[in-house]
Amino acid sequence: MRHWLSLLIALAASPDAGCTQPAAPAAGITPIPLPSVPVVTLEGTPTDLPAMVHGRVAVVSFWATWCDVCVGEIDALARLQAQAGARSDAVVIGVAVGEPRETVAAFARKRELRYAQVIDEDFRLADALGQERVPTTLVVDRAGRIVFRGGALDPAGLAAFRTALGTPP
Amino acid sequence: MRLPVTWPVAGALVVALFGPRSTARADDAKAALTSAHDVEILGRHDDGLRIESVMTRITSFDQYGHGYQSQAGPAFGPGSERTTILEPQVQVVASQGPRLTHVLTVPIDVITAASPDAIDNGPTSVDVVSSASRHNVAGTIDWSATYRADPASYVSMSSGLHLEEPFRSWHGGLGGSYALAGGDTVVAGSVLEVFDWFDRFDITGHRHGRTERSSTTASVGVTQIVTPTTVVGANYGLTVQRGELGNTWNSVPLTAFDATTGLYRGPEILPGERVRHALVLRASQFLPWNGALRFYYRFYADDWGLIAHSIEGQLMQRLSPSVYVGALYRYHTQNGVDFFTTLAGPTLPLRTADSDLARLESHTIGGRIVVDLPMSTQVRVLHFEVGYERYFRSNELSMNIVTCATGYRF
Amino acid sequence: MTARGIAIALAAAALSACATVPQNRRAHFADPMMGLGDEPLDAARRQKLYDTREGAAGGDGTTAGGGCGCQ
Repeated sequence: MRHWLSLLIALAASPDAGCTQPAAPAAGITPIPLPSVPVVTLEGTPTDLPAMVHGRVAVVSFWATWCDVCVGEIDALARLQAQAGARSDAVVIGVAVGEPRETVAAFARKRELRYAQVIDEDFRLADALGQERVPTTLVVDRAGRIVFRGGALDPAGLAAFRTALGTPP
Repeated sequence: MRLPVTWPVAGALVVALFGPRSTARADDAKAALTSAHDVEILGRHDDGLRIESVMTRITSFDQYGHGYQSQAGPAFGPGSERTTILEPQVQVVASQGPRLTHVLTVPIDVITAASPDAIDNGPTSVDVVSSASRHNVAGTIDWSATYRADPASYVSMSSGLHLEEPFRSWHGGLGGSYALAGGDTVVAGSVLEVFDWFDRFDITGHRHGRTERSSTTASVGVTQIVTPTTVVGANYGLTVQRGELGNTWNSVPLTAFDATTGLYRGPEILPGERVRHALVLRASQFLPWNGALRFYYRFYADDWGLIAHSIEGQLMQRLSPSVYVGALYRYHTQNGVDFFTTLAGPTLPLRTADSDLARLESHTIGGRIVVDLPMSTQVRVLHFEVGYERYFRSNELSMNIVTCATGYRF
Repeated sequence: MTARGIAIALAAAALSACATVPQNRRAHFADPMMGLGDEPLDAARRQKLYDTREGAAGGDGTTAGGGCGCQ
């Protein structure tokens, strides 16, 4: 009733509180190559992001099942993949961080996730990229370089994706 | 909440799936992706009011006990404090755009009260609470709005009304919080003003107009995530109350007969001001076997001489992704206000026999089971909870408490 | 260590403003068991019980007294 001081603290300290950081401008980062850090697919097959991306322009979304903002943008990423899947040079990949494969696989089955997923259970890929927040959106160009970093998928991320698509191979 | 796929996107998908197998289809797909409006991917931004959750709870309090402030018993007390309270509550959380959150809370109390009912002892006296049903119904409506100024800052405003048969109250407050260190640390502060105005009844049940009191509270708090499994918090609150700080019809057994009341009892006499300090420490620790331990400690002191310590532990265990159980134990001890008495001389300037202000120890033992069922419909999570607590005090008061809650997250 | 000392130490640790736990490692805090307080309606009815049956109140962002006839 009058516990809104607790509500204020809960809102500000919630696990999602960092999920609304403003996106980094596409022009503001120096492109770096995607690191070849081992991850696994939902089926448990070892792989890495460069192999998954394989010369395509990619939107890579770092997420977690406990992150409400991440779960809220799944449909948007699925729509993006629906369009990207019609062409051979674009892909959307989700990277689930910090959770066991079984947990992510069960969630993916229930939500019928329609874009590729890999699991980074021990945060090795996230740490290698210096990513400490979820959701995080990266845009990777055809040369396998990260050209955009942002929070949740937003117009800046989509613009960076379109810019990378427009860049000739 | 799923957002509609618009015709341009649907059209692009149909062309992609069923169109002629030619480069024209690939070119169309490229065009769709590079020219699709952001809203078709991200969804339309909705600034309207959206219900995020609805929670309802009903709690019954079945109280047995005796207190010297109650006339429902022997002349020199203690009298009965037998009462039952039924408290339904509802809370609605709604978002208005990405920055504004509203919380509306409505608790209702349905109370039977023995002590004021005992005042109804003659044709000239008045039953304080309700002459019809010997029930007192009280309700509150509380609304708060929280605005996210930026990812780290929140400001909030709250206000509300409480309506009770002989009693009215209004409250309003402002607050803010700021997250530091990536959200590991949150500092918050608030001020809250409560203004009560209510009927003044004497201990024989006669009404003498109205009286009022005000309570001003300032609070500051800090929460710190210490490890990936530990969070701690501390809050300090200062409350200054002024005005009529009792309910006006509490009585005190006297050593001498009072001719004005015709009783061996006189009215409670309280100071016109009370300054209250409270410091609360909390911690929550995740346990490796999928459980959690919650700790609470409060130190309290006021200028009526009351010093109190309250300590509570809750142990919770998750049984499945949707179900957890919890057990709690709370211990409270206080030394009583300086002017507490069970038998007062008639000339004492301050006196109270209110059992709540006496030296006492109390224990609460309880348990609950909580179910959060993920749903695949418009209701994202269905919440159900049932719990029982037993509260008992060293000075003859005990209570059985049963609570049940149902909630929906959308 | 007195309660006052603990509060000062907590405040100092908090105001040191070092991010000790990255946001992507806060999975446990999403569990409702791990909240520092109870569910708001549960917290409100328990707070009211103790405020009206004991002399101590406040310290958790709520007022210590007033607001109802249940003194």
